[in-house]
Amino acid sequence: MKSLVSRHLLLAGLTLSLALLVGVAWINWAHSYHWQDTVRRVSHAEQVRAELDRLFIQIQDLETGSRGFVMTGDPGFLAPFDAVVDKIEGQFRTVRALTADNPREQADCDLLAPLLARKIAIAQGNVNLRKSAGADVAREAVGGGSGRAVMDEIRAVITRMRGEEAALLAQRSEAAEKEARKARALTATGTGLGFALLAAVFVLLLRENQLRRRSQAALRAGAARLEAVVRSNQLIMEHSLDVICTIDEQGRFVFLSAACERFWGYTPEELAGRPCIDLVCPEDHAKTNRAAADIMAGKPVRDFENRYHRKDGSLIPVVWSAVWSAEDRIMFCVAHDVTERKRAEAEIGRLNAELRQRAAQLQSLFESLPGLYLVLTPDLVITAVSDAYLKATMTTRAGIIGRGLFEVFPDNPDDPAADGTSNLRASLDRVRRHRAPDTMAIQKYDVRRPDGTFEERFWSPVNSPVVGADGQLEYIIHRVEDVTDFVRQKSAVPADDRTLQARMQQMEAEIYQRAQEIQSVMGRLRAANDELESFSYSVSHDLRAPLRHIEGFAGMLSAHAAATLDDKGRRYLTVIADSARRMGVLIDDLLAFARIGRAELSRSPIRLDELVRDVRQSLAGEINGRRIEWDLQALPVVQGDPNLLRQVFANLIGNSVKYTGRQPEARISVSPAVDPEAPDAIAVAVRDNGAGFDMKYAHKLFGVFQRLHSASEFEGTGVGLANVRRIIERHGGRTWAEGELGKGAAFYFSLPRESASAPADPSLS
Amino acid sequence: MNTLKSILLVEDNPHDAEMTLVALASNNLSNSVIHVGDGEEALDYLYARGKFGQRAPGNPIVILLDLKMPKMDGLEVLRALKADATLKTVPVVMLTSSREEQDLVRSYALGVNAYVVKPVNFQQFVESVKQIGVFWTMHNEPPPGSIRRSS
Repeated sequence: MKSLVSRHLLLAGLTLSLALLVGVAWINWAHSYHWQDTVRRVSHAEQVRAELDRLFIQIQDLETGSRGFVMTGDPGFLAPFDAVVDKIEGQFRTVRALTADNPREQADCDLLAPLLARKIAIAQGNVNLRKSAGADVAREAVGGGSGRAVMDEIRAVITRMRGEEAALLAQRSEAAEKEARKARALTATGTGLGFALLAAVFVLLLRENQLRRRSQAALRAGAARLEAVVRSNQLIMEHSLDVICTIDEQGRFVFLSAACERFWGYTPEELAGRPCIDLVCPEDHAKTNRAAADIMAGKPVRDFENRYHRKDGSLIPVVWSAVWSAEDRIMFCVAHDVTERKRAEAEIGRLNAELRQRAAQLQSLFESLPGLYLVLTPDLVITAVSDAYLKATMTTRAGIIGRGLFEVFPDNPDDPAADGTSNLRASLDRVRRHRAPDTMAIQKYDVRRPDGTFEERFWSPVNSPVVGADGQLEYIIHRVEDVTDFVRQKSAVPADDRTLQARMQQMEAEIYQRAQEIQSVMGRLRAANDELESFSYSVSHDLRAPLRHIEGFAGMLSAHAAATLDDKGRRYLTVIADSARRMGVLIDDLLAFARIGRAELSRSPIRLDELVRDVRQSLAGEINGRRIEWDLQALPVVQGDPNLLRQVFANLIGNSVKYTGRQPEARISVSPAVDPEAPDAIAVAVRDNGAGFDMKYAHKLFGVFQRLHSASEFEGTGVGLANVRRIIERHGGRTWAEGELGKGAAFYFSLPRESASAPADPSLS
Repeated sequence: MNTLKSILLVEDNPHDAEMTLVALASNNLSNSVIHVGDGEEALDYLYARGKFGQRAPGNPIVILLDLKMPKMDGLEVLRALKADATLKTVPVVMLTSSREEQDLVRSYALGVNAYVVKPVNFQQFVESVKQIGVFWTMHNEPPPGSIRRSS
């Protein structure tokens, strides 16, 4: 675009500069003629003056000749005189002719002509007089002076004419000078402008050239791109799964991409030039022609579908997108093979039909169920109902589907005690909240007859949730049983069935009595529990005081009487103090045991393996640097009281440490186990290769103060395992043990998997 | 000789009292101890009334208080002390044989300064009492108005 503008500009510049130069030339050309004219005029003026001078000289010669002859009478003067007379005539004609263009000079000529004639006549007369009358008469005539007067007039006219010519010459020279100046100025300006324009054109040309070079580079790049596009187009044409083709105005294939062979079994060459309608299934001709007309009318077509005959005669469904190019008078088309889609659509259609059929079957099955069922959405809109339900409630399916449950089944407004809807609402709320079935007590729920009155009915409803895969409540199934007859029978007890009624009353009385008994036992238990608590408090405080005193005073005595006591005396004192101390320990353990029974369980998630590691570290004092091979395996997380469970492991692992004390290579393991009586429970085993025990005493292991080893063999009070059992039982689990004397022991406990379901402990110790 | 008694031992059991005094004596602290047998007597002493009407003025620098006592038990004494503007600053150490959690909780709730369970073992008992005596009379800076132990 830019280059075009500069081309116009260039042309204009060039034209203008050429015009200027031509103008300048023309001016010079014209001026040269003018100049020539001027020169001619100047020379003409010069000539006029020369001719006038010549004329004057001839006149003077005339005068001189006539005078000479008159004075001298010498005929030698007559010959030139005669010659001059002839010449003057001619000379005057020359002057008249030369000044023909000047009226003033012509007027002077007119004046001059008679003057010349008179002069000649006078001179001729004088000559003739001399000849005839002699020298004196002639001399007198000459001196008469008429000749001189004519001569003066002639001189005056000629002088004026010379002046006229001189003035004309000056005037012409000046004009010629002016012309020349103008011509120079014009020439200089025109030439200058012409060169300036030429320079501008040159600069423009340079720029144009530069632009052209640039655009040529761009053109080359464009060409490369075009080539790439063409190449990719070729690739597309070769590899496109769809047929890409062009069709001319007559509906003939022009070009086709390679896919047409796969589509129709014809190669592109076979089809090129063939009318495409030939391949279209005849039933689709009409709509194909309509579509073609639409396309050629400028309406692009998308997803137009028709069927084509393949070379082998089979049909192939094709979907077209096409657009008409008015410029090329050609239709650009893309054809897509929809055989697979058709097949899938057919399959989907078939499946849908099957699904509809199944759904209808299921619905009819559901509706024919003998039970009374209602299916509700979570916001209690009725979506399905069994025929039995409709019959029992005297409603129609069309009348209740899609409506709210309580809108359809309101309470009997005439029954002030009616609480059916509120009870049902509460039950449905529970189902929605807990996602669990809710069985309702028998409800009196009157049915509205079509005439608007109510009929007394009793129902036993169950509401069950239907929960989707995502855990969301999808439906609620409301199932009822009409128990009206049963309730009526029950309330209408026949007279001869009195015994039954009496029996029932008796049973009710018994139940009441039992409840009273349970109440009183509970009261006694509570009192016993309180008593026990104050007892253990007393034990802890009062029973230990004398023990401390025994030990304290024994100690003071041994300090006081150390010098006077012999060994035996000192030993007695030691035994006294040790016994008191041991009793103190027993009391402490017993109190701790009692406390376990009373303490509130605080439950939290506990990582058992961490607990085990903690306990092992806290036993460092007991381990006392011994070599023990530990095998502590990963244990699950349980819900429980962390302090109490810690005590369990402290006792079990502490025991293992203690009873392996005589093993050179002690092994202790804590690992997951299985409770054979409760395979679901979480079980843990603590095993060691220590002193072990005889299985026939296994039942005694977990009893209070029960010991299978003597205190001298292994220290202990016999409360530890009792504590373990009590703690585990309080968690709802159980304990057991396996062992063999001298081979080691295994202690197990198990906790219910859902620790939350552990039975509440009735605070009994 | 007017020795200032700066530890108040409230202990109903004479054997315990004697053992405590022996333990304190082994550290030369027994001279500065005044022993009373129950809570009522303890308050009489603290308020300088009844048989203590003539005592020198000033509060003990620490009270060793038994829990279970006739008439008025340790917790009642503690409650009375902590409710009294002039006595509530006196440090009180529970010296008791009770390990019961409720006793511990209630004592601390009433503002006790320390709670020590009397060890059954005599040697340990002597050691505990010694440490209590030394800490409260030597290391601890008592509140203003306490009777300084004669040096």
